[in-house]
Formats: sequence, structure tokens, C-alpha cells
Amino acid sequence: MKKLFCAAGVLWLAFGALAFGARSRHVVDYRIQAQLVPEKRAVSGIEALSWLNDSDVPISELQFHLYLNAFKNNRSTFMLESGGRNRAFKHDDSHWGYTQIHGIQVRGGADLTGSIEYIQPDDDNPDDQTVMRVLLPEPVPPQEWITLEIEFTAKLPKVFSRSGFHGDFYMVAQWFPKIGVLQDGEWNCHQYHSNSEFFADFGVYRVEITTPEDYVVGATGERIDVVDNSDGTKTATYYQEDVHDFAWTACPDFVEFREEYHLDDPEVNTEIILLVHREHLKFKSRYLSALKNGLEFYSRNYGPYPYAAITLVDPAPGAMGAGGMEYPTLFTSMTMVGIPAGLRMPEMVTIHEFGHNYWYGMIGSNEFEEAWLDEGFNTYSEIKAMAEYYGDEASLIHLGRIKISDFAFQRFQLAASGNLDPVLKNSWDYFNGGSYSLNSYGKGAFVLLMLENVLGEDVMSRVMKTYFERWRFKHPKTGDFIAVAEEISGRDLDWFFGPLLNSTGKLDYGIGGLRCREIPVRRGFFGEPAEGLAAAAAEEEKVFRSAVSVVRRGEIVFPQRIKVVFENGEEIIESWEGRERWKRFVYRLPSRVVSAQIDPENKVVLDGNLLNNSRTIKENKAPGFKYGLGLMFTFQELLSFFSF
Amino acid sequence: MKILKSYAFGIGKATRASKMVSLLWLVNILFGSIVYFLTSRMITGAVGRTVLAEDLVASFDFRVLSDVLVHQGQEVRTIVFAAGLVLSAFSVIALFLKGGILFTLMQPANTEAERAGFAGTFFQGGGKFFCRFFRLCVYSLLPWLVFLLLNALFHPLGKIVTAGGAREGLAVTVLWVRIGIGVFLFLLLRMILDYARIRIVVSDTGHVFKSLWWAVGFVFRRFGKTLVLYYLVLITGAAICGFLYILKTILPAESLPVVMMAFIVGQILIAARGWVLIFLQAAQLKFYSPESLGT
Repeated sequence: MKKLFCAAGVLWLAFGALAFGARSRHVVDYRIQAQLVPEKRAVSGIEALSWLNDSDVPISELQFHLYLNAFKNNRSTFMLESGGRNRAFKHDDSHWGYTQIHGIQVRGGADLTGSIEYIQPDDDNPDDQTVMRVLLPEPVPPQEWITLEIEFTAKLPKVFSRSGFHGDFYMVAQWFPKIGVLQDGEWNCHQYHSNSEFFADFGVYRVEITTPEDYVVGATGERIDVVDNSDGTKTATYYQEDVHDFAWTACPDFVEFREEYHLDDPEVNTEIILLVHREHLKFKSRYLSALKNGLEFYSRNYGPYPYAAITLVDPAPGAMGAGGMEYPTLFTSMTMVGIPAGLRMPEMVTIHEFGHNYWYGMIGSNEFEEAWLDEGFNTYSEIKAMAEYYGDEASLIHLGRIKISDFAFQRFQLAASGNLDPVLKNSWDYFNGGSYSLNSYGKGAFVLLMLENVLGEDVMSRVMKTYFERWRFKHPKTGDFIAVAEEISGRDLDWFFGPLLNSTGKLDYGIGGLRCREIPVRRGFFGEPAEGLAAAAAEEEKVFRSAVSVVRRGEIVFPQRIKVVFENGEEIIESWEGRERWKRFVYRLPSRVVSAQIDPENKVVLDGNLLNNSRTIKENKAPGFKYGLGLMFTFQELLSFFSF
Repeated sequence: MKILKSYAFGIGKATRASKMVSLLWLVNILFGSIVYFLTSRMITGAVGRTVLAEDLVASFDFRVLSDVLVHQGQEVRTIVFAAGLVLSAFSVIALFLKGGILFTLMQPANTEAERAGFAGTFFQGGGKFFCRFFRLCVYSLLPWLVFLLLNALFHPLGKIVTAGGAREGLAVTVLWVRIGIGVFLFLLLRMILDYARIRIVVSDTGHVFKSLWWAVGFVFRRFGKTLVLYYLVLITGAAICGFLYILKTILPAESLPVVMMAFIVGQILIAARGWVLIFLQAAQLKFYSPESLGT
């Protein structure tokens, strides 16, 4: 009977996928009925999950993420790692969060509730309950489906790390029992860590959300139905295929704005939905403009945005812990009353989080294990998008004379931080949260910017497009991207990715020395002493010996170009493989050397110190004068204040 | 009427006190130049012999400045430490200067003190009242504490009104109101200390605490008038300094001659602040003791 059901399920899903032009391989199909119970700060849910054993081995146990259990007690792995703090927000001990499973059974079959067991595949922490295992009475054969019915309650914490409530604002994310990913016949189902995000299979979500009727609701996917219930509640139904997560939000203080968005090349037709909190209505146009910029930039540079809707959520004041987070077709941005137009934080967050629909949403890489594949790629895209729409110089901050680009800001963070970890690492294994962010966001992005400088913009553009086209709705790994980059560029790039992704070494080249001496007129013996002393030439042209020493101060080896400029305007470009610790270039020319500069086009963006990248013979005191006077004046004003 | 007379007296006195303005400016630039030399040396050392130098003069480059901050950390710490020391030293010197200013201002014309010359009078006053002003400074910690306490009291009140920040628009308004109240209390306290110093100088009394207490009573008995006078002077000063500040800011400091021009405007602004200080002291002195100063 069960097999009959499974076979029918396979046929139905396969037919459905074909009929509706599925883009991804549907491994999961979630049908969830969820009811928000505001007075209990909880969501009660009934979940019907169909799961395809997409491997070639029978599977006799299932593993689920119960992410909310990270907030169940103060000894969960998340809490122990974070100390109850995440993203600058603190957990409120009076509002724990958890997922309670009331029952789990195979549809029309065995009750599995008794076999529930919590496992800790990453750290053996017995108090962590974020991964649940259930044993099946009969294994699921390869390429067959199983459907489970799960009754659960998601108790929401006070929001401090992505999910939860604040007042009557609800960000319901990572809230339902979510099956892990079966890879090579084994479960990939990590615990919820302080420095980790998520990983799941693509599939179909149909979720009915019941809330009090005055709540404005937004969710992953398209709203296909709304029913007013007679008990003061309403039920909205959302449906989306080809996604690997489902999140929703509800708040009576949201104001909903909808606008159709069309782009001709490539063709994009989607509906923009903005859920802006009443306190932030002045930011509506900034959000909208940034989201349109994001849609255009990502569609043109990587591939058309394929979904029918995109929802921007503006979290309630005080709920910033929910801000700046991505979910498929829905993301949270963030702002604060009073942020001036020149401080482009809402724009940057909007573009970044929207961009995750590409790097995380469609390119479903494993955020637990290779966070740079989503955060690094997305920060790279964000830096480029911000520069395109808000200017190269001041894409992030433009307040009076202060202009700071997103690129410069990211670079400052990189330069100011230690190198304790490589880019490639399990996200929870980094030295700390700072090291995780630094490597997966900033350094990851700069690796791609360097790659662009090595390959050229045109080739890089084709690399990114091909990678996106080839791997969207799949689970690529770092090696898959490298393979695409090598294929498109026709170059072996091991030398590039190897050290930059796996090493903790510094990349720092500089000009070690710059000297110029006039070669003196001939004196002494130049031939055999018997021939006599050399006679001074009457009008011998002056010749100068100029020496440029370049040094490698870091561990990472990277080929370099050096520009040497002479007094007569002559420029010489040298190439250096960069392997030795140092190298000297010597010139005997009738003109003096004026300056030498390593990496004159600033292509090696990961170079940790710009100050040693060039050297001039003459000292220029003007900047010291200018900034010295500037700082002195500010200090004098302070002194004046004290004398009042 | 008394306010206007005091205001006019203050302007007249400050305008004639060019030597005092110059002295205040000189002391200010002497202390300030310590920061100049340290900063200038650090930046020249970091970028003076690089191709970045030229670009850095032309425009603000966050990449270069951030690298200076990151890679010249020791020098930056030295500058911050030195600036702290200079500031502390200046705070003490400022007590001396205030003594000099008040003592000079209260000298009637054609007296022996005036004939002794500006420098003699100024330094005599500075030295004479330094210890008393220092004690006043220590006693003033008490009202500063009250000021901080009052400020802290507004915090929970603000949280209640804004529902813990959930009413963000209101929270921003409350923040501005708090800043406004804070600035008002801050200036009020400085005004009270001004009158306490005036009393010490005019009465030549060593009862510092008593003078402070007396100044509180003096200000609150004439609350409106003292406040109006204080703010009239401040607004006049703000208008003059604001104009100079805008002038300095709009100069496009992208080449050395313009940087120099901006520097000169900046120094005029610092001198103007000294002028406003004398103006304020003179106006308040006149308001406190019209008889002893004549018209």
C-alpha cells in the first residue's frame, strides 16, 4: 500500500514538475498549515512533507533541522558559541524559542514519534537539540518518495538572531521541521551554529498561514489565496516551486506596497512587494529604488530573476536582529529613522539581501561548509552594484566631503583584521564571528575582484554567467566554480585559488628600495694598467644607475607588475613572478628614476598595505601639511571649547 | 535695558581687547601645533615618498587614510595620547587665562594696573586667581554630577515614552529633546561658573564654595535676564563663527595655496572664538557689577 502511494506520489510530482516547467530537481514537497498564536508567541503547524530518496541506496533514517531549538536553552551549541549574542543583539532569557514535535508519522503508516532522537553530528554537545533523527520501520528505496505528517509548535524567541517576535512584529524563519540534505547516501544535516547559515534541497512549498485579520502578512512565493475566517482570523496561502526554504512575516503595522517590475533585456517580469513598517514610510522610495537596482544588476550580469514575486520586509523598530537576512523570494532589509540619504546603509542591505536570491537562493551552495560561495559572491556583486548605481567613489557614504565606497570600506575591514583562518572552512570552525565574516564576506569578495582583474572584466562576466546558468537550482561546491572559471578562461587557476582560499598567509608586496646615483666620469684603469689611466671624455653624457628593489613581505605569492618612471617621462613596465623574497631591477640610463610603483593599476586588491606599494625619490610634504593643518584646526576648536 | 547695556559693553570691551584676543589665539595655536607636528610627521612618513601623496592632496582617499590608520597604529596612538595630555594641560592653563581675562576687564581706565601694561595686568590676574579657580573647578564636580544624574534620569523616561524604542520616530524626537535639554543644562552650569568666577575676581574673595553657591542664587534670581544675555552673546558668536566656518568649508582644499587660505580663515575663526569669550566675560561682568565698571 505504501509503495503504491509512493509510486503515485512520484508520478504526480514528476508530472507536476514537467507540466509547470520545474527548474530544479524537486526533492522535497512541503504542505504546511500554520497558525500564528500571538498571545503565545507561537506558531502551531501541521506539515505534510514528501521527500524523495534521490540516492542509489535505501535510507532507513531521516534527519531534520529543528533550528529554533538553538534558542531552547542556554547550553545549545548556538548559545554556547555565541554567548547569547548575535549580530550585536542579545538574547532575552525570558523568551526562549523552540520547536516542539507533537507527532510524526508516515502518512497512512507507522507513528515515528517514539523514535525521535536528537543528535549532534558536529560537536557531540548533548544539550543541543537542533538536529532530530527518526528511524523508519522500512527503508525508503532509491528514487522513491515518502510522505510524513508532522504536528509541531514553533515557539518564537524574542528576536535577536534572525527569527522571532518584537512587539507585534513576527519574523517566522527557520521555523518548521526541515529535512536535511542527503548527499552521496549520507545525511548532511549540521547543527545550528552561531556562525552558520543553512543548506537544504530544492522543492515545492505550499503554506497556509492563519493570522489575526488585522495583520499584514508576507511570505516566500506568491500569495494565491486569502480567506477571511469567521473567527477574527484570515488564512493566506502561498505557493512557490524551486526554492529551498520558506519564511514569512506578519505585523499589523506593515504598510504593503505592490508594483509590477519589467525588464526587457533579459526579460524579467515580477511583482515587487514592499512591507514597510509605519515608522519607516519615508524610506519606501529608497527601498524601492535599491531593489529595482538590484533586480536590474543581477538579472543583467548573472541571469534573469525567475520568480513571480520578490518581497522586501522592513523589520519593526527594535527588531533589527531580524534585519539583513535572506530567504527565497523574501528578504529583510533594515533602516532607522534619521539615516541621511548620503549614508546608504538601507540601499546596501537591500541590494545585498536581494542578491542572495542568486547566491544562496538559486545557487544553493552549502552555507554551513562553504560560506564564501554565497556571502563572498554576494559581497562581490554588492560592491559592483553599489559602484554602478551610487558611484565609484562614494557608493556607501557621501556626507559632505567624506566619500567612502563600499569597496574601500570592505578593504579597511580586511586590512584592520588579523589573518587567523583561510576562506575555506566550516563556518563554525572559524576563530570567532569576526573571522567568519571577514573571510566569507570580505576576503571572499576580494578573491573574486582579484580574479576579475586577472582574467579581465569580459572573461569574468562570462565566468559568472556560466557558473550561474550551469549551477542554478543545484548545490555547487568551490571546485565547481573553479572548474567553470578554468573552462571559460582557458587557464589553469590552481595557482590563484589555492593560496587565496586555503592559506592564512598575507599578501603584501612593496617597493623595498629606490636609489639613483650618477655614474661618475671615468677615473682609474679601465683596460690593462700598461695602457695608462683612462682619459676623461670631453663631453661624456651623464648616465645614472637607478635601482628598484621589490619585496614580498607576505607569504602568498602573486605575480606583479612594476612601473618605473624616469625624469624624462620615460616609463618602464616590469613583470615579476613574485616568488623570491625580493628582486632588484637596475637601469643605466641618461635620466634619473623618479618613482617606482608595484601593482600600478591596483589590481591586486588583497594586497594588505598600499603605503609600501610605491616609492618616490623626492619627498612630498604636501599631504602631511594639509591633513596636519586639518587635524590641528579640529583640535584647536576643541581647545577653544575648553577655554569657554 | 541692563541686558542691552551689558551686551554693548561686552562688544566694546572685546573689540578693544586686541592684545588679549591675540594672546588667546597664540596660546591656542601653540598647543594646537603639537598635534600638527605629530600628524604631519606621521603622514609625511607614511605617504610622503609614495605616489599616493599627490592624490591625497587633491582629494580625500579613504583607502589611503585607512591604511595609514592600520599600518601606522603606533604613531596614531602616540598622537591620541599626546592630544590627551595637551588637552589636560590646556584645561589647567584655561583657568589661568580666565583669571587674566576677568582681572584685565575689570580694571578701570587710567589706573595703575592699566598703566602697568596689558601683559603685566593679565598675568597678574591669571596668577592671582589661578588657585581659587582651580578649587572652583574641583567644587564644580558636584553640580556636574547633578547634571549627569539629571541626564541619566531622562533615559528611562525616554524608554517608557517610546515603548523601548519601538516608536522609532518618537524615539528620535525624544533623543533630540534630550540633547537639547542636555545642552541647555550644560550651558546653564557654565554660566553659573562664569558668575562664580566673576564674584571671586570682583570681590577678591577666597571663599570659593560660597561664591559658587552665591552664583547659583544670582543666576536663578535673575534667571530670564542672565539667560537672555548669555544666549544673545552666544548667538552673536555663533553667527560670526558660523560665517567663518562656512567660508573655510567651501574652500576646495585641493591645492596647497587653497589649503593655506583655508588655514588662515580657520585661524581667524579661532581668534574670533577668543573674541567671543572676552565678549561674554565682559558682558556678564558688566551685568554683575555695573557700578564698578562704569559705562
